[in-house]
Amino acid sequence: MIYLDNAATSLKKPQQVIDAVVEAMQSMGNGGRGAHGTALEAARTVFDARAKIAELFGSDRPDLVIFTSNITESLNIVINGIVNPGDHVVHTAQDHNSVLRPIYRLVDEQGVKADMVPADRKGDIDYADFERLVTPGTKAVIVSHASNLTGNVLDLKRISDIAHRNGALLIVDTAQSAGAMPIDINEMGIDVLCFTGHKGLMGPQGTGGIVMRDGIEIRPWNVGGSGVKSFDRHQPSDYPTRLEAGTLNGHGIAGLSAGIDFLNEVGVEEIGKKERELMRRFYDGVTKIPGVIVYGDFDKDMRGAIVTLNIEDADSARVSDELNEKYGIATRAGAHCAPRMHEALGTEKLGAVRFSFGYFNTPEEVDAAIRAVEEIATD
Amino acid sequence: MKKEEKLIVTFDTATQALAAERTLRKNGREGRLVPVPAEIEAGCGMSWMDEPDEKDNVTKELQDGKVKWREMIVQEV
Repeated sequence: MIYLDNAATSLKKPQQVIDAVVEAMQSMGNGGRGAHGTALEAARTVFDARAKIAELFGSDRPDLVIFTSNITESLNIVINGIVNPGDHVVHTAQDHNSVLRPIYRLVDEQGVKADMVPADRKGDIDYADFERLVTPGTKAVIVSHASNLTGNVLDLKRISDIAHRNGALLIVDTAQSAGAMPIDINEMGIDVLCFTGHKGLMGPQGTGGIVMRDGIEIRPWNVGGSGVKSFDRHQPSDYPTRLEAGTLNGHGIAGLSAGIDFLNEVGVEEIGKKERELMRRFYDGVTKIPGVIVYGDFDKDMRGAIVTLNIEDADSARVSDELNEKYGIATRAGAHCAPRMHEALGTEKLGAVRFSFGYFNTPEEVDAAIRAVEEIATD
Repeated sequence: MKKEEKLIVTFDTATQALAAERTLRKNGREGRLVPVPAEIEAGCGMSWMDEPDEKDNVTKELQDGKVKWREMIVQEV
């Protein structure tokens, strides 16, 4: 099987991630609950992971790294915990449903006002639209850093300058960018960064989190067991405990921590470079095939390792199924939880076939995928 | 159980306790994390236990390491 669905999850994990999970499942108590040996070992493992994640994103505050079960949960906690009834927010057509649906629910149920920065046929946005839509009084600008459909990447520094000039916070979904390109919350002006553990960070599914700058107030979504201040009626206000009611996924976090070690050993820039080389190789191959339509902006060097295409007017679900059944190539068809971007590209009816590349893919696999697309296109 | 006078440092979160442990261990300190004594706080949580005459050194090391704590108490535990 050739796995080209890395934007959904990185299927192949470094061996050290697998080993760390197995070891954790054999030895870890409940971190933060008690001070006996195994509980302390678990707590230290979780703390080490916080410190590594903080460093990965340019922060020196492990206490401002919050663990969640996935980035959708992170975005729900952050958006619902920051945006108040009647507030104004700005987002983009590039956003995944994990950004869009929390916003839409607040719009429909809490009188929140939301404006969307549109995208053109290449999936690009115009930064002048941020200038137009973000105004004094806008509470937050919420964006998906890299599109999970086109791979196009937003200039976060430019957006944060506009947001901060107007007193708005910048909240970023890094599902498709973390681990594949350098991200520094201070250099880029990110106030709250949401991440997932199981894609570019190479960790297990069921891990994700939030990295925030100091001074950001987020209301907790879950409240409950905290391991401290047990006789208080309310959840403790200090981070990370404020947003981490209940037992963490310690086994998963141990794996995620090993995933970050792998990123640091190889280098995020090196990983991203290899992924983008594979993506370019595929792009160069498929764009020569008559009938293949590729979506997204490939003029920029920095982009997610994603190539999304259709073959004339063929149903993307059928093409993806043919790739799977006949060639053993795993891709993703359909809408990719990105409805506004499909509308911008004009693919809301057909969907599209997404090929997404990871560090463990090879040029030979890419060439096999090009040949498969060519055969299907000429069939 | 025989009581002994100890320095107890309490924290608002387990994360602060772990940050303190990392900093104090780096400095070669021999204290350790223990459950918060019931006399100090009924409930749960972790505290750093050290020798009473180390209070000033522990204070300085935590300050230098930018680690926050809630209380620093010398008492019989």
